[in-house]
Amino acid sequence: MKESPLFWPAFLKKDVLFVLDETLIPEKVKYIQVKTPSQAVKVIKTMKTRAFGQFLVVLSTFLLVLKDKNIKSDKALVKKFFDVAHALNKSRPTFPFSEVTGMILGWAQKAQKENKDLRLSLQKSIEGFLFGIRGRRLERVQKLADTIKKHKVILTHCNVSGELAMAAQICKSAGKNISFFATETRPYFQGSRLTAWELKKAGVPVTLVADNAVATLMRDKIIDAVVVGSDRSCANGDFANKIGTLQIAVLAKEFDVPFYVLTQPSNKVKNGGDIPIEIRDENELLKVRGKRFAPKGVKGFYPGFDVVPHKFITKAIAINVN
Amino acid sequence: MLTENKKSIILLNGVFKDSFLKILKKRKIKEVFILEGRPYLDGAKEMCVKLLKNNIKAVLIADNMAGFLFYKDLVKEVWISYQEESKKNVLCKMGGLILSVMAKHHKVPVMVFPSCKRKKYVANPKDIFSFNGKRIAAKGIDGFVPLLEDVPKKYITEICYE
Repeated sequence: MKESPLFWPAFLKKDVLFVLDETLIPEKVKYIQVKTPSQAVKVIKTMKTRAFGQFLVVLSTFLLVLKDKNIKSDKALVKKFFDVAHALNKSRPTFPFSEVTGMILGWAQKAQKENKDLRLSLQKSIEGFLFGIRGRRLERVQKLADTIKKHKVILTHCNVSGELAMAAQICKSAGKNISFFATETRPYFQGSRLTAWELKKAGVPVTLVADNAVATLMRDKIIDAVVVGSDRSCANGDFANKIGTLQIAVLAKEFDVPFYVLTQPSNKVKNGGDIPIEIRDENELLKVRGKRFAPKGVKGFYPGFDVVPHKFITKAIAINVN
Repeated sequence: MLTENKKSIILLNGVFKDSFLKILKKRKIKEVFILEGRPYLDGAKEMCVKLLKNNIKAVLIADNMAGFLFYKDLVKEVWISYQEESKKNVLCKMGGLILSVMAKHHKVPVMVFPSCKRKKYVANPKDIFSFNGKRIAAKGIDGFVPLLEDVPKKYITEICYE
């Protein structure tokens, strides 16, 4: 199975964090070199990376801090960890940064309390966690393949960070010919640029549609399942994902189309109503590649995410958290 | 947020005949939300200009953002442009069925009003590969670009005639 660059879009090499610039795909596959926590926050805020990439950037940023030789004492290191966690937590509101940073701060405090070699202990914990998450995501790819192999034509929205393309390859190898419709996913075009690109690279047929065409695809039975990812899950099964996901979920229910979501279970937030939704700058909607297309005087409104109530989910394909 | 007032937003999809503006003016509507209308962006480019010329503030959203407004219970009414009416359906601007289903789930009225656009069912696939003249999509893929869709009358509250 060929791994999509979007499956693991950030990695540490020596003292530099390489982050895949997802805004340049499909024209270029280029990595941004991140050397400081503030640069890490910037790649998140400017959406150079997103979804699972943000998760990798958070964990790897703490590994970068561990390599900082200017931090001499354990006390200073823990303080730096708290400062970095704070900066990451406030970078974007919807993704559960504090759940990830909170876990790392917990490890730091525990190691300090147990008088362990703090740097070594934290490095082992973070690297071990990354290794584990990689394996668990590969397991979820297999679960996704087992689910989608029952279907022929699948609609997807935004981008599922490499997992869909890899699951499609598994199905293809098993002789199941599945094809996809990808929504373009305005305003950042993750469907047109990322999903279409990685499915095409994987040798899987993909057809691009505008975000406004999804109801016709469902009503006319052109597609027979929907697969989306999620940025945040709640204790009751509600989840947040890219803007546009809610109307797809409601339509799937209306037209009896199975609706599958890849999730990272969490009980930190009770239900979807408690998830803060990021409202981004209207210029990101009104301009494309720096050029405004909307007439002068028109305002824009850009909510970044939808909350989808669990009643619309046919099946959550969860990452194993144990 | 631009507004947090429940059931306050009038949501438009399509480019309407000019007489529609008279309705808005008669009702003293000062602001509407409008979908951009991929692939040609006719909502953004044509309808917004008409609205601004009539001193009605236009707030643009992408075609995938209406669900959020419904979820927040902000939508008061939906207007969709249409081409023709048959026994069971109304042939509406693409995206009309999404809005109609969302409106049904949130008990929001849906009105359809004649379009001023020429009837064209499907666009060239390449029209979805670029945005405002700039190539966006990956190469070597297919595109499917329906421009109109049938909306069953069961979803529609009122069919308006010019």
